[in-house]
Amino acid sequence: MSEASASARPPGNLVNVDRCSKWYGQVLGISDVSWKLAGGIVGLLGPNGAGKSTLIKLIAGLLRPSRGTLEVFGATPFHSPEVRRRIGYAPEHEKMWDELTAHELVTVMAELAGAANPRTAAEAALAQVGMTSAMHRRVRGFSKGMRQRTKLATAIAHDPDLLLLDEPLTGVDPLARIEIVEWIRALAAAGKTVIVSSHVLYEIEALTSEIIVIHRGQVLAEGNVYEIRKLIDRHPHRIRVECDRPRVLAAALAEAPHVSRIELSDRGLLIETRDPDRCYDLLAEITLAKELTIDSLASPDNNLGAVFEYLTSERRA
Amino acid sequence: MSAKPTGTIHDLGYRRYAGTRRSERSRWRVIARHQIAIAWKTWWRFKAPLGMAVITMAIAAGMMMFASERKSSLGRAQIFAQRMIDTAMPEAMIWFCRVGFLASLTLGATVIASDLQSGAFTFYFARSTRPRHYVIGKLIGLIALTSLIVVAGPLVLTILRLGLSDTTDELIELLPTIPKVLAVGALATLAYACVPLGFSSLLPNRRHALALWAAYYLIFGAMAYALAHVASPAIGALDLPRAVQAVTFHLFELEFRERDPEIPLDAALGSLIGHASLAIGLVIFQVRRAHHAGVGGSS
Amino acid sequence: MSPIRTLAGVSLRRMLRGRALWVAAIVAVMPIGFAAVTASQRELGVADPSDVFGFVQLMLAVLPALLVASPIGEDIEDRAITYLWSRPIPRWSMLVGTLLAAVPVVWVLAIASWCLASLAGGNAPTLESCIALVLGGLALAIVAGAIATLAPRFGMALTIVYMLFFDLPLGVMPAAIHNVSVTEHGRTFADLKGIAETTPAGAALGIAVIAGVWAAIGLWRISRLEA
Repeated sequence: MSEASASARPPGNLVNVDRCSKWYGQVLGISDVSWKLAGGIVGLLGPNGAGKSTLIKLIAGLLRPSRGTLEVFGATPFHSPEVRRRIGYAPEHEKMWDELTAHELVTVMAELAGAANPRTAAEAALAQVGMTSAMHRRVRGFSKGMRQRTKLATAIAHDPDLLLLDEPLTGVDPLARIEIVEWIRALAAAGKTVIVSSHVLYEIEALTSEIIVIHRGQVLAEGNVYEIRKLIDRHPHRIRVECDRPRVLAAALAEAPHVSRIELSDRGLLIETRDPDRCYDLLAEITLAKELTIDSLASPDNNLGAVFEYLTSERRA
Repeated sequence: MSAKPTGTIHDLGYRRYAGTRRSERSRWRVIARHQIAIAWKTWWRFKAPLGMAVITMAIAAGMMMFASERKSSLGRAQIFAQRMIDTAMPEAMIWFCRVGFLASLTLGATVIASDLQSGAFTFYFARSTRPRHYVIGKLIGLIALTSLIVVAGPLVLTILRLGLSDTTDELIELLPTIPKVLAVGALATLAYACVPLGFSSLLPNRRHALALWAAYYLIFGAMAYALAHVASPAIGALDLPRAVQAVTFHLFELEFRERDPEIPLDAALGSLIGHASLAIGLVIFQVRRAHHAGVGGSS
Repeated sequence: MSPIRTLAGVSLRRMLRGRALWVAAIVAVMPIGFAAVTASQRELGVADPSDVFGFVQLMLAVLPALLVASPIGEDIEDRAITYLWSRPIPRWSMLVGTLLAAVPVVWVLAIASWCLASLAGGNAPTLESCIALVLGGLALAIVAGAIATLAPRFGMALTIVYMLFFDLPLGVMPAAIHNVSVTEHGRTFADLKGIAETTPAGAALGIAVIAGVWAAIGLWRISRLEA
């Protein structure tokens, strides 16, 4: 985190959402959302239509809450140009001013955002996203990936403190995906706060373990994905162990009170437990005591996909 | 030693469709139905102009009913009332044409340009849809919609006129007005469905296409009509609503007002049919050009 | 640079690179042809200037729709405004910036068309008529912009409808209601068969009031519009 960024950031939360709801006529966007964001990279997860874009647009100052309050840097973004000066937003859609070149577009956006030297800022931003060679071409002829990169460039050209990236990896090729993920991580390391919205779980997994899960307009969970996993009691943790004597291991584990189920197979066993930390400790003890040879040890559901599935599956019912 | 890797392809049950397929000739019906469904969706596209056509019809019908009640008067009032009954529909025709123009702004003038701009051509021609299906479907859809404005309203007024006949002989005498109004309506439908569709195929941007159509209809048409006052009256036929009005007046054997140039029937008919033919030809040419350019695959 | 100037620059650039100007130019040429043909058909070889002026005013039904309502409606409908309104700029700057770029183009086309049509028709354009087109062009551009903020998808069509079904017909009515017509005030200002019994200053004031009302509507609407 850079000193400049740290000193520029007011104490407390960057984003403060308090019982915020947004309706589009009869359609609910988000409902009674309360959330605080201090910094870092946060993944905004949810299926299509969950309310991710609505929340991001509220933070960007494009929408006003129908109810509740939403403050960014201590002010309402819809009414505060000073707040919007510190925000960089890359929308989900691809519509741009096709008649302009990428350089012209990013320069204009930087100028409108108050950048001191918009041309230089635009060139630097386009270089960061790998668009230097194409920056004097008109946007009309761009591929989806090039448009996406140009969008990202418009978001960072004015050096904002808060970046809102709505589905930033859509349509991007695998190599570019890696580059952009690294780039986002570098921005966060430089002190910027980044909110990345996506419905593609592995994209978020690659970026951060801090998530906020939205489903049908409501926040289902927020925080560290692994901590959230621990809280999902109704779905015991699963640990898959492959070893030379699975029956011996199973017999030793069966006595543990936190182990709810053991499934034996030829090569190993699948353990379900409500306390994975204790279970791992117990596994280590048993392995040493019985002199077992462990071939592999994995947790199939200690990941974002499982967390997301568990959180949203009941809501879907 | 590690086991040799294996691979399996699972049969998930996918089979090539072997059931009944619709005839290729039904493609245009699907496109036409879709055109009508889209038009009916929002208020601004078609319902508002249709409402205005209903209002026009109601006003003209009201005038006819009012005049009908005054027919029992004596002298000039009776003559005036009779004239109002006889001329309400022909005079209202130009208002139906104006409403038809309104509908064309939101329907016909943007259809093909919208499809080009949005990439819908890819959807159409990635399937077994030929350019002719597309053109026929769009035309039929627009004709169906436009006819609700420029045929249905005048037809209702004509039927009302028949209903206001004093005697059965008069009724029988007036029966030929029904095919006449259908003919006028058909020509007006051709003009207000085909010509804006032609303009919509000229430019790939729907707003520019709309502007060009509006300029042609409003400015060029008004200029042609103004020129008819100083040059040959036949030039006035280039103004579409006046051409329709001229056909109406000729078929219903009404006299043109002194201040209006008497556009000959053949010029009016030629203008309407010529406009429609040119527009359809343009649409076919542009759609086939887009199709061959690879927008929708090979023919 | 102020956001208004920046947005005006962008609007102008987009206009010059698109096809809207070509369409506008085609529209602007029509009255010239009409005036020339009319003059050739008349005994005196002179076209009636009020007729030609009327057609140039009719042109103002299409030009603001094309050059103002269309880009504003397109930006709102296509959500390109999300880029603008996430920036620290006042929302009304989008409307004003577009007008700042489009109105001079409307003026140039309208005045050029009128002057060339007048000359082709055997008349000399008067200063009053040119000023009338300036005032009318500005007012109708504001109307077009406001309508586009109210109905972005159909802004262009509705602007044309407004001119065709509201401004023009009301302008020829022999009653006080003709005061809501920009074209009628324009004719009065230019002293070309206007039916209003008012002075040029009164006509200018009428145009200003109509433009002011629509400007207020447009600014109110755009300040509340959400992306």
